[in-house]
Amino acid sequence: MSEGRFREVPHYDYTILVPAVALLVIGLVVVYSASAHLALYRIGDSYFYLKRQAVFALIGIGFMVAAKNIKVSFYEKMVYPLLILSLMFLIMVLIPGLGHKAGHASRWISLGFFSFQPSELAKFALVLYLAQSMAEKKSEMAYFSRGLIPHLAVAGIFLMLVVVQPDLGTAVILGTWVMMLLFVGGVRIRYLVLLFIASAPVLLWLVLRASYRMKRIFAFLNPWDDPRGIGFQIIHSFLAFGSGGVTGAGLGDGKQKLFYLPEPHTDFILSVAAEELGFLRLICIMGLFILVVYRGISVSLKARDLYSCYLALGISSMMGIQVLINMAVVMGLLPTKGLTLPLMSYGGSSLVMTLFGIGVLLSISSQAKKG
Amino acid sequence: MISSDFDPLSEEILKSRLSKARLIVIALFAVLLVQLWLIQIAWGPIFRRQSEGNRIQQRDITPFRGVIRDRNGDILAGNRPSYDIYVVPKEVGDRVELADKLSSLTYMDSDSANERLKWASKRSSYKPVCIKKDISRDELAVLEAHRFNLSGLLVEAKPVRYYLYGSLGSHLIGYLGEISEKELRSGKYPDNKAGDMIGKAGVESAWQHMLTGVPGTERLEVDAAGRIIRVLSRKAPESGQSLWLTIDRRLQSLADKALEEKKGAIVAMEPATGRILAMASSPSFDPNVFVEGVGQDTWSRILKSEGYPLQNRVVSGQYPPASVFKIVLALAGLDKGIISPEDEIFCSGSYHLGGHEFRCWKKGGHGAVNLHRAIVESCDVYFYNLGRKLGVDVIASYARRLGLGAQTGIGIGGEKQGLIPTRAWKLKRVGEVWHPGETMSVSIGQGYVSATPLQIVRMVSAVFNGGILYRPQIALHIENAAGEKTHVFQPVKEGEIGISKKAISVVRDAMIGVVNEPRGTGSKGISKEFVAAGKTGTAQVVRISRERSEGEGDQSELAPELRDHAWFAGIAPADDPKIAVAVIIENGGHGGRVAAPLAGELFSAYLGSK
Repeated sequence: MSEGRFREVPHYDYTILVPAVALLVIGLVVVYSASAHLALYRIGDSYFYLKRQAVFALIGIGFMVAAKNIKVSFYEKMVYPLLILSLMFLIMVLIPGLGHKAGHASRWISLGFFSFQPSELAKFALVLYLAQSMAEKKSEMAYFSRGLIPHLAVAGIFLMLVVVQPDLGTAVILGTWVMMLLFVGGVRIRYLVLLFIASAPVLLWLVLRASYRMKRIFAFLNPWDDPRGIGFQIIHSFLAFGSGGVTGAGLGDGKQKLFYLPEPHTDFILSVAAEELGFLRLICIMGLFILVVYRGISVSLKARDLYSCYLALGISSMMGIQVLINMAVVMGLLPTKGLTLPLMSYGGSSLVMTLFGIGVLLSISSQAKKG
Repeated sequence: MISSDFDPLSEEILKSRLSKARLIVIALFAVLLVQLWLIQIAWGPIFRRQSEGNRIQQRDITPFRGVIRDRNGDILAGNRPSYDIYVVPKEVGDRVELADKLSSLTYMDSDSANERLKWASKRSSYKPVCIKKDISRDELAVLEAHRFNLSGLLVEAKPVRYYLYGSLGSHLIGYLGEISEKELRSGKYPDNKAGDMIGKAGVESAWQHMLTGVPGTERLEVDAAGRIIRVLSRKAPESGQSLWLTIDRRLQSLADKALEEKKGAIVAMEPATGRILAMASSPSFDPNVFVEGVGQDTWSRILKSEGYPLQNRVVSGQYPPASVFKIVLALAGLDKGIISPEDEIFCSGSYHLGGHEFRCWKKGGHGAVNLHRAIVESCDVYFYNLGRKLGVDVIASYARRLGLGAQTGIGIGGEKQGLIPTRAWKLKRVGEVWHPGETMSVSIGQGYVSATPLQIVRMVSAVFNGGILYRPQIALHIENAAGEKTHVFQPVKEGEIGISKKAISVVRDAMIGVVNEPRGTGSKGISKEFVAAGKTGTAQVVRISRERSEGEGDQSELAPELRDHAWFAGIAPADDPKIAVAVIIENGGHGGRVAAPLAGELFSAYLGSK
């Protein structure tokens, strides 16, 4: 009885909440600094992106608080409806007229006031499905037919829809992440190795087929070969990091964001932070990210049941992979791809869904096993 | 259902695999940390030096705005270079010294130069900021000669709009203005950014998307003073497409001249297609004033100036059509069979209804008049009688058939629809029932009735082209940068007036009489080398003036703003219509004496040139 009441008390896992909110706030400041010039130039209002991002942050916090107060068992009923809904959105994006193109890819659905990115919802639907299904199968996960095939089939459909958008980068990330979850869930390592070997030629073919992907990869391998062309982004990101030095050029005084860095407020936000805040503060930012991800995985270790465990792992590892890949890209360790930095980059769908995920983590943590 | 208990075996595997996953994450972050240290600290100074020496600038290249031509290919709106002075604030050594130099080399005085430099340094440090637009050729030559003494200063050329004939057809062509924040956010201008000039009125606005072109970009290597050393990469801008208009420059210029020193509008249309040949509105303006953007002062001066020069009176001027409206009643009466051409009515000079006296403009009266004479001599009493028989709602239904009371769909901004009153309209809008006396006013095109000159010219065209209402057309075709026609605009039939051929033919004969019979109200000022037709109108401005004075009487003792509006709507040649014209001169006096001769000039010029 007393233990039951104890559980009812709203308990926030501050090891996750505090760093997440700190990153959110730092993100808002850097988004403003990074986008002010661009917004003044494009829209004529230097606060344009800041204002929108602030609204998204508030909506996201609302979602986070709501998710914290929803018991995770609630999502069990939502798995299949959500799976179908997000599949529908992913297909809608591809239909001309419904989907909204940015650049050459159709990744958005326009909802009047803002555009919504269905792949963000798809990620969440996929994590719910995998967590529930893997928890149900338990030790059967070791079998090829029960543990691997159904999960691979569902994830495969999603991946294919993302590839044709075309958004190969997100597809690769999703694929890596699914493999990681399956590994933790108990699928035999040799199956996973086989899967990796089998998917390599497909990946290679997809890259060779599109010339811009080849270009990106070559630019990554040697940016200085073509400093005015595709290597431009990476070089200027390096210059931003280098100019920042130990203590940074000072907030607002970065130079690379002034039309040298492409999309300084979205994908390359970390470069702007590096130039203006410097090495020491950047280490703090990385530390905050590590804290959230590490604690997220720890929550899964202490979860009350297998389903919550997989859910927490899925959410925190998805965030971890995105953070790692975005950072690796801006630091020149991976080819450029359109991937935002969770919690910091400008972008509504991503921010709202990330904060929602953190809410779910908080909820799992508050219902965790004691000790 | 999921058990809350862990399977002991899988829990073992799970825990070990989770711990491994956690380790992998830490290891990967460690790799990133090493890379961060490398690029920010170890190699940092190298990158920093490169960044400081980085004199690469990315700039947009303004595309050429599409050229606007008349129907014969004469350029009406093209582009000219504008030389603008830019400054790179970080590269300016001594601001006061530079301001002094600027004042000695250009027409800027040193105080305002200093002010602009200060303003620029607040806006940006590395990017060039424009401090003076559109300098003269003399200033340009001097600056170029001294360029190596002027650190941080550069001059750039960009194309700006140039209207070759100044105010010619300015209401039709329109003008440019700086894109507003609201327009930018609307998402309707994907190729534009803050500071761009976009079409704000007329053709420039209606065809903005086609005329604007796509900006290019170039990456430039510049020296310490911001001067271009070489172009590293360049994506050429795409020029906007050219638009050929239906107007004839010579005729347009004649129409503009006819309105000089007057307030009013002239519109000429090809009756068989609905293509606009000329569209003039006065007072007018020179759109060249707007091409580089205008300050708040200039704007408010223009907006407040007398006669609303920015208003296009052809599409948005709503005037009582006066006696021109008798065409509607005549067609309605004949088509309904209420009157026959032979029926005569006795005009004693006035008409009595409900204790009120409604006068004819001719004090002594016209005597016995049939329809033909009533139109030729514009007898009011005849039409009071006819209007009484038709009733206001029948009049309104015929007016609508002839295209009045609704927009013509010309597609240039600010079109008004005029007003054709009905009983229901008055009850709804005014909240009162219709009085029979008001039908009398409507019968002679006064009272609530109003129409735009464009509606009137289209109505006259329809009477003479076999009853077809065309949508007024201003664009002939679109041409791409290579000079190929990419789209040809075909005439669009909006509908047919649906009035019997016999009725139309009677009214046409009468309209020929207006111009060609000795007693016709429009018999003066139109050449007899061809057979023209038309109808005059004299719209009362002040209601109290009970005297109607078409054709005779003198208003010169009246204050200018109390004088009548002069109307003429006509067509030539009557047997093979080539041109229809509507003229309104505000406070001009009598339609026959003032407006008809102006239409006559256009007829002669257009038919003479063919």
